[in-house]
Amino acid sequence: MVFSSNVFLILFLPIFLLCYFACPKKGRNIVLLLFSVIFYAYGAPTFVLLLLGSTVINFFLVRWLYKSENVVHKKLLAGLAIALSLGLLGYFKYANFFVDNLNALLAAFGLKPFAFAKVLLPIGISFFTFQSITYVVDTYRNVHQPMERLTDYMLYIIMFPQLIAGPIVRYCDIADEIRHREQHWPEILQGFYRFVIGLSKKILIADVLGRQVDILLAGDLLTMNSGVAWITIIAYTMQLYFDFSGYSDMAIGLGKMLGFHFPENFDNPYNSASVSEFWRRWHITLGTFMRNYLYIPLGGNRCSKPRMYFNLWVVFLLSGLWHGANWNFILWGAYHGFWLVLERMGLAKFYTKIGKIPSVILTFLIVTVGWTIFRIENLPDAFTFISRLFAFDFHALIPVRSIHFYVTLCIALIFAFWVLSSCGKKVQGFLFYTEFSKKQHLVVWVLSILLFVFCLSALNATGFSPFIYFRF
Amino acid sequence: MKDIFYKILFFSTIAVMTIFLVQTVTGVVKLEPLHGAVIEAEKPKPTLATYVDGSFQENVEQYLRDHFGFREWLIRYYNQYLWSCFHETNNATIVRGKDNWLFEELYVRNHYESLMYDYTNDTSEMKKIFEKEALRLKKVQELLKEYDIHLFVVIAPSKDEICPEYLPQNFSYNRPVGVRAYDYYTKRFDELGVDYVDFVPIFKNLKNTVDYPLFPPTGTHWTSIASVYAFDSLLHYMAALGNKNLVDLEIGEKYQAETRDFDNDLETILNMARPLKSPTNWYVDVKAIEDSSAVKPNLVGVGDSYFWHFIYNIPLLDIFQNSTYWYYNYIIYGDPENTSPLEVDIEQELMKPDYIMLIFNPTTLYKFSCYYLPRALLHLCYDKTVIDSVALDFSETIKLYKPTWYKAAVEKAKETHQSVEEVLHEDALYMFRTEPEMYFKELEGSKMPTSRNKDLKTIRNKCIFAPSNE
Repeated sequence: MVFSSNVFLILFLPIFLLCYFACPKKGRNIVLLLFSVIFYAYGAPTFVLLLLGSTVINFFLVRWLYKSENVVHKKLLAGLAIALSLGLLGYFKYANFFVDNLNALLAAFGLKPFAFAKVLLPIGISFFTFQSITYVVDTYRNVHQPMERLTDYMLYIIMFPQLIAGPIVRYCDIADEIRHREQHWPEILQGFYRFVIGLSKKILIADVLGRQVDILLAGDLLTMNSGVAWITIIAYTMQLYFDFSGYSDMAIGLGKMLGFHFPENFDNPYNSASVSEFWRRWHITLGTFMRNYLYIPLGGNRCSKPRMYFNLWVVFLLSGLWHGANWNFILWGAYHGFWLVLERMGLAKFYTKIGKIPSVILTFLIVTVGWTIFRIENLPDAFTFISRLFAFDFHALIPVRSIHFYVTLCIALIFAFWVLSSCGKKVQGFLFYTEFSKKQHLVVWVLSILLFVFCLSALNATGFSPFIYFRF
Repeated sequence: MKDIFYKILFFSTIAVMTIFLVQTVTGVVKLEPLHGAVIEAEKPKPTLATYVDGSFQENVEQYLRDHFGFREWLIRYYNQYLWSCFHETNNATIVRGKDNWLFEELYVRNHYESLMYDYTNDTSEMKKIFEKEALRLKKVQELLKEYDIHLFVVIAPSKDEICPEYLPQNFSYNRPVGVRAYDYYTKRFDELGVDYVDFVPIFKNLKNTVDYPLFPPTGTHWTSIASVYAFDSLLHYMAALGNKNLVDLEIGEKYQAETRDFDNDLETILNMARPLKSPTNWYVDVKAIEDSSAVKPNLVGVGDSYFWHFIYNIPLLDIFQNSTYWYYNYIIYGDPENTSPLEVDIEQELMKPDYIMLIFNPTTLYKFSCYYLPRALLHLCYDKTVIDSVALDFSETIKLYKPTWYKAAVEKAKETHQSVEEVLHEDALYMFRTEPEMYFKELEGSKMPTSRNKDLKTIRNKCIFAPSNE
């Protein structure tokens, strides 16, 4: 079940909210857990037992770890719990990739391929695996004591607002709120506004751009002119941002409605003046996880320069692989790792010299070209597309007939870059960080309701193309 | 109490969401249904298998899309938003042209680049297909003439051909103009001597001389009034073709009236909150002139939706003893006993009419055969015994040389509780219906196969029309 679906918006969400707020505060966690299980079981019925089973095992392993006073014992248990989580992730997400590559290698040597039934991927596994790891590590490092109740731990892992696509919430950031949280009505309303902003980003911007991007990329890439190629990849760059950040907004908004404060996941990433900065502003919770649980344990930057460059590459190769089990994702990770290393080697000084705006433009171009490798899974096709970007063949051809598409793309670009201006900063500050007066609440609430209905309208109208008569 | 304001707002939010849910479940507010032909999802029935494989969940989402509370309003207002703000239609099959003229996308595509690319990128391959169809048509026409049955083609005019000045600018179509069905067929029909009426040049000539519109801005077909005059011409053509005295039409004085459904069919399926203002249109009333010396033959129309105009504007049953409409040879209208051409006894049905009108326009001409002609050709040339014997050979070939096909037939037999022989026989009939030349070699090319006159004449004699003066 995704948030931008009818089942969620008119069935699951209102019923859940009614049950949640009708329930006394003590029982709300149980209601939330129950609905989270339903949410997951609806979308991935075959994996719900796996998820619950692995959660139970992890809970008891970590409890044992916490009670143990023997350091070696603690290390072993932490290692076991992490290996269990990573093992599941490795099997379900990467087994097919590994076997396919192994078979390709065997075939190259004329050997018989390895017979293997394809493994299905449980939704959300990349996210809940990382959350399980933060639980183990934060307990092991004594950052926070573990949950006392199994249901509370289960709630941390499978809470539906952030189960499928994050943000990756570190255990230490949310543990106290699971046990006890204060709910303030203005904040609950602000959660709804945030949810609607996310929904609008997804349905009114990302989906509109995505439909055209799919059409454009289904065409002949070899003959695509450079203008079309740039429009396509910029539209995709915006689609991805508004889709993912929209989803994060919806998750954060839902969290607020329930009294949780999930960490921010995006901070106007396309306004970054370097790739390093981009990674501090794009999918922030993944970056934080990678820094705290991989980069720093590897030695971080408190080591020799070559070792630091190596650490960066490892982190970005694994980040790439985390996004998907395919060579294009690994290459995309390596591409970003390459730019980060280059920045550490001196490119950052060049950015400082040329100033903020040119650096933002340059970074945007680097990131945009990187998205090509991310979007086009077939690597030869991705390289063909990149060659068309730089073929400088701009003969006059308008690839998309839709004004709606161009207007949406312009709106997306404005929103993506608006905080570069002081006016944009003010609007963002007002929307996200101001405590509204009652009058302001009323105005924003009415606008949010209208936007919510408009999103429902777009969601259901899109693709409704009746024929005059059936034609055979 | 201090939170009462926020609580009201929040519970109003839940109420808004719930209103949609309540309307979805109860449909208590009655709204004008959306227009147009769609296949709506059926209410999904949960089973363990469909739940586990995820198809139940997909069907629920699809069902909710089709039955979402207030969807009629939501869709109409979104369509209006796209139209008013971006000058776009939300219907992928309709394109907005100049001065708000509406066109079906299919017609615009055929105009700018040809629909050939729906079939093949190879011009010579397309020409081969057209050639085969043209030869089939000629053969069927000749064979039917032996029984005094007149099969003829009507090429109705298309909006893009007659009113190209209102087409949207060509933004999207950049492939070379392919071979068009209309260009190929009209040339070949002339060379082969096929009986046909081409309204395209007639309408082009009429365009600047008549004082009524030939095409409505918001409809896809000819105007009602134009279809009446066209049918009047067709009636004279049919009389001459069959050398019969047919009933004449009395066409009344034309008058202006509010645009009616058929002249507004594209606008209707745009489903907008504020319908486009359609100008009034010209109409005429028509009746058949009683004539005791005239005969009332049987007519079968096979083809696209242009024939609907004849059904709605012409008193067909006053002119013809019987008239049925085989819409793209897929559904039969006007025959209470049969609705599917596949269920009828094709030999009888071929012998029943005195006139068979194949009606298509330049855009739909690509499928003008629509399996009617190959099937007719097969049954005009071979009786059941011959067809069954070739079907037996076909089954043997599958058994011996096509193991995958045979395996699939065995599976299908198990599923449908038939014998494998029955399944293979059905497969053979399907193949014969679509490509008879592949299995009956004497049907290939322009060779004229011998018809089986005796059997068919017996059937024809039983079906022949009774003149109206009897």
